[in-house]
Amino acid sequence: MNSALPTSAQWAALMPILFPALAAAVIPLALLDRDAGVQKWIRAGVYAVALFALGASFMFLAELGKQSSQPSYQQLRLDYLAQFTGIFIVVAAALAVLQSWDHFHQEGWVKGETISLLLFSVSGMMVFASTTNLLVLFLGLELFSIPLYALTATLRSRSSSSEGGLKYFITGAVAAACFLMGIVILYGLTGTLDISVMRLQAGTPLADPLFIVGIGLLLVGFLFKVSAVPFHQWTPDVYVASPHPIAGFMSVATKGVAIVALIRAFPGLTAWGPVLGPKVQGVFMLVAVLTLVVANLTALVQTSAKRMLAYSSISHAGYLVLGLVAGTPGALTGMLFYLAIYLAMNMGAFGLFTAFGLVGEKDTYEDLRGLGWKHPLMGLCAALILFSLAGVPPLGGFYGKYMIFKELVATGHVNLAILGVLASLVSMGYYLRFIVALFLQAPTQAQEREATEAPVIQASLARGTVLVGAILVVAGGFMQTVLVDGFAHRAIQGLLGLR
Amino acid sequence: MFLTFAILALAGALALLLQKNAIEAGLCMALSFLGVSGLFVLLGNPVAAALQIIVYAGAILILVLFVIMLLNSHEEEPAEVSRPIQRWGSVALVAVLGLGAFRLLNGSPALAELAAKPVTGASTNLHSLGDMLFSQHLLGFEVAGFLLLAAMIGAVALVKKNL
Repeated sequence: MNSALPTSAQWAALMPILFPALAAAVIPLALLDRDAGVQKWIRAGVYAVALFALGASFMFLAELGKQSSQPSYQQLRLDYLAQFTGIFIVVAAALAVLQSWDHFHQEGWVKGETISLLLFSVSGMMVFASTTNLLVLFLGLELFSIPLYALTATLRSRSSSSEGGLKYFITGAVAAACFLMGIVILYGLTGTLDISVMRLQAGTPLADPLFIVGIGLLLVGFLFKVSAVPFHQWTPDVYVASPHPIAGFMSVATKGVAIVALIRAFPGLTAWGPVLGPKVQGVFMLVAVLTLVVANLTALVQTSAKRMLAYSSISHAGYLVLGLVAGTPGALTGMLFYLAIYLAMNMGAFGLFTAFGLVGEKDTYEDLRGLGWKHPLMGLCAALILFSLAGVPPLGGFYGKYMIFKELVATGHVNLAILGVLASLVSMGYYLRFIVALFLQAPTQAQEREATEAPVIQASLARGTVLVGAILVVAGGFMQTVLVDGFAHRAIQGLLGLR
Repeated sequence: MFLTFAILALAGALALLLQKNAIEAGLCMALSFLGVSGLFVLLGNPVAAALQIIVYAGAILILVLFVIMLLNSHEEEPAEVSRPIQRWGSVALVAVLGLGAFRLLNGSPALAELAAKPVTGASTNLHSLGDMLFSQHLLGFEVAGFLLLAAMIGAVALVKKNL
């Protein structure tokens, strides 16, 4: 029996996950004091603890990357891909925490438990992204999903909020049940829980119909989290129901880790045998095509800008799945680069609402009228972020798509690449509508009156995060080689080399 | 033996779905849990069977029943009348899924191979389970602990009256 404490090398694999988890466990204790005078300081303290935990996790991961060490503990393997994903999650969470400070000051303060749940979700995502063991993968999935269900329903004063939370919970539970059933079938047939071992193990019935059904059920769980069509219906309702920073975090981090888990489980499709490999690839193709068509066309007809962003995030899932169809190391590297830029774009785009002081249900195009001129710097950032989302060169979003399309053409999927390009052209339509509302439409008289009467909104932190997003988007366009060669490439090389 | 317990579990689950009174539905659920725990015994895992009865039937279900009784909402809510097309559609879906599952289980060579293998391994006891949980699956155990804590904090945050 191996009951010894983890060695220091094993602790290194646990530390980045433990920082946010311990902070999350400590924060609720700090909230017990009900004295109004003290509470202000407790709030500041909670945010400081959260940022400290995320910062510590970030520094630790960065240091691991610098020393090129890949520690592991039991089923947890903190390889380069996991380190990349960890930094991705931590940055998204830190931006969300900063934005939520302003958001909750505008929309009315809710509980500090929100931050605690966010941190739990962060540690769950890290577990999810750094293992191939299906059991631990499932536990990680639940550890990041369950806090997100509660986070969606944070704003209890709005009735749509609890509706969104319940919807997310029920659909999420169905997806998790499918995922678990898939695990059970695969474990029963192969006797191992490790999906990377499963594939290489002699005597694995790769072409067996029951095995294929098991893989299919696993895919349902993954694609639900990626919010690809036809598992996307929850996305717009949930994003609209949740506070803007949480919506941004969900759209970025959930999708990101699910894509990374898919990369981990299905790195090269040839390894899955002559029957299963093409089948999985076919599923990816179908899902990508459906996602691109449905999401882009639905986004065109939305009146709420936040709903539009939700559909836009679905359509980005389509581009990412296209990368899985190609499946070459180049395409996977492109996907990681795309994810990094997507983080900057979507945290920025959802942060815009808080930065403009549009809280509550004020998220239609009408509410955005003329705001670009009122806050010129934010307007400029908004334009950069939205053009990048649409994939206009030379911004970061363009290169992400370019890398994926290039590999698609190289592997002979020219039709899919053309569809992708057409989809980005269509997406230009709804992103432009956002920009037109910001700059070319004068605010109505009622809005002018309201703006002069309203108190000055507190949004300096949210504006800062939007600025960071915009800078990253531009930097991604001009210095993509640094990001790609420095991090993404190594992560994928490490992954494929390990096998 | 297997058939008895399997039918017990299935019948309990089916009655749970069709029952309109919440408390009776809860009792049907207990019946279904009993059937499942019987299946665990047949699989040589008395620990899981005991846990199923103690934790699920004993603790969780009774708690849920208490909550239902305290809320005093066991009056039947007028359900929406389902349209005939929905009813026939669901029957057809169940038939297709059932047929598919049956054909899948019969047509899977890997499953037939597994069934032909002789049964190996002793039955699970509490000692070996604890050993495994704290050595091989320690990571999963700890993550599950955090999961429960997160779920608890989430539940409290959602229902707490005084924010």
